[in-house]
Amino acid sequence: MKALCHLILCLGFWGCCHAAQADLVVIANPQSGIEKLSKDEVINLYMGRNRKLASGMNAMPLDMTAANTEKAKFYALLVNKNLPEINSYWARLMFSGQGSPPMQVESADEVMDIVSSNKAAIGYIERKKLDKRVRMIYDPTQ
Amino acid sequence: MLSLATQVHAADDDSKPFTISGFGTLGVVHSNTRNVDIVRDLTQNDGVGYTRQTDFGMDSNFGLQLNKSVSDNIDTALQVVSRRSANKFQPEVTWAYARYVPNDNLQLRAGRLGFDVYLLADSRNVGYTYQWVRPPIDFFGSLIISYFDGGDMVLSTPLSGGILRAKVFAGVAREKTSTGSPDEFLSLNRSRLLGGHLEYQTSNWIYRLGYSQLTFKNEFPPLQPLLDNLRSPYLNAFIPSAAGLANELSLTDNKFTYLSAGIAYDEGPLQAQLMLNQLSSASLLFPTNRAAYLTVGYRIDQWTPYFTYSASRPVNKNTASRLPLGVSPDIDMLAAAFNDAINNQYNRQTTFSLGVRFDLTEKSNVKLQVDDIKTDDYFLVRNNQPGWNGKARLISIAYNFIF
Repeated sequence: MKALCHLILCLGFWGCCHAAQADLVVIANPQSGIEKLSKDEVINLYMGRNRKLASGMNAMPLDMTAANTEKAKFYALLVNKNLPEINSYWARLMFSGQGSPPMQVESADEVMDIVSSNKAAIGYIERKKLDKRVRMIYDPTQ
Repeated sequence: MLSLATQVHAADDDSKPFTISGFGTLGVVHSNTRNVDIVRDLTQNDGVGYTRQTDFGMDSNFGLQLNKSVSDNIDTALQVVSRRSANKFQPEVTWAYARYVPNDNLQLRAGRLGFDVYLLADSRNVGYTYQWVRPPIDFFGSLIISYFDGGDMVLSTPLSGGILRAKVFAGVAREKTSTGSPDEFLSLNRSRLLGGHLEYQTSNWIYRLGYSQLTFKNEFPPLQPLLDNLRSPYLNAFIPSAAGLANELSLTDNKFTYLSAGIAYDEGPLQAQLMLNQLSSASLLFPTNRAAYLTVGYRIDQWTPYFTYSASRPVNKNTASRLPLGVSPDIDMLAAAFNDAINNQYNRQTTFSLGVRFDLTEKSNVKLQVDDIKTDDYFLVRNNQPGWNGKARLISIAYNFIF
């Protein structure tokens, strides 16, 4: 498939195949009992395949509204998809009774507030916004 | 409006209002022939071509859904859809269920549920969610059930990096479907359905094997005169096997079986699917038929060009006359009617489609699709006119949205 992708690139289509560069990390509450998550675990939580955390609690993944550029970057990084594709994916699940998308919040500050005050919450933010109220549980660069 | 942070802290979810969401498609399709009606599926009695050369109704639909979360593990939903089916555009309740998800390994649902016979079958009204203007007709067109009243259960377990799911469902069908005659319908009401599938999903692959069966409760109306004749004492005096033949031909109490296998690959901008099915029945009326499709699409920015090749084939085509010929003209006519009834159910059709999806906004897209259809049997089409060469080319544009 990489060869095909390369071929398409060579044929003069741009903008395919490279994930958006963004310095995003996934965070959880320090009391959540989560030390680290693997990329697959993050995908499973954000794509609604699993809900349970190691602690036995239902995870509450927080998503951001599309007005935040972090959202598009996060999904490009996580599953190499654009927002219409993510919306299609969730629409299929929602309208066939298999669950609903993660809760959407308006801003990074709100993500920080909810994660720092809620043991089950998980969110993504820019690395530079990290502080000690939250714990980084997934770093895409590592 | 409560701030979300406050909602998160709410101890119970009873304060959560209903959420209302919906989807719709506005489609237009044009056929190059007036000698046949191409339909989206067999629930539609007329389509594009013969009845109208340019059709706004084939793919257009509108759906509304109410969701309410009852507790952390229980939620309910109601979905109403208006689309062209046997009831014209009369809105129908397509989903109305309560769902219980105590943990990641179990999901139980009860109420009115989508018929999850193949991958994507229970979301085929939601045009926004797939690449095509419509699901491949050769594969999905013979699907006359969208929902049933009953229950289903999904068991899931992590397995070597992926998730293995087993699903079982059972219930009764409620819908009716067109038969090709304007005011004759096959009622599926109270026909029993049961089935299930095994599915294995990894980050990029989904594999699924499925089995479903439908036990018809009611008779296929166009068949009734023939059945009455076969069961007549007069005929059975001559041919003692005739009444037995009627029972073999009849739909009532006979089983219809769907076997399916599907593989879907989804990696970033690339999506591909290969699906196979086999439909067979205990009734002589429906000969065993197989269908398959392969589709591949690749996203480049907002554009996703795709192609689909789909085909349907009868497994074997030999309608042996089961009635002795030459006994009397009446019986000869009956034998011809008997063979006709079966011949009409063969399904040999091939379609090649090319299209492109354009992501207009985050919640809407537009698709353009060209289908080249080649038919040797008339099972999936309506109103075929004498002299039709079995070919049709459709050009479709569809605007799809969700909210």
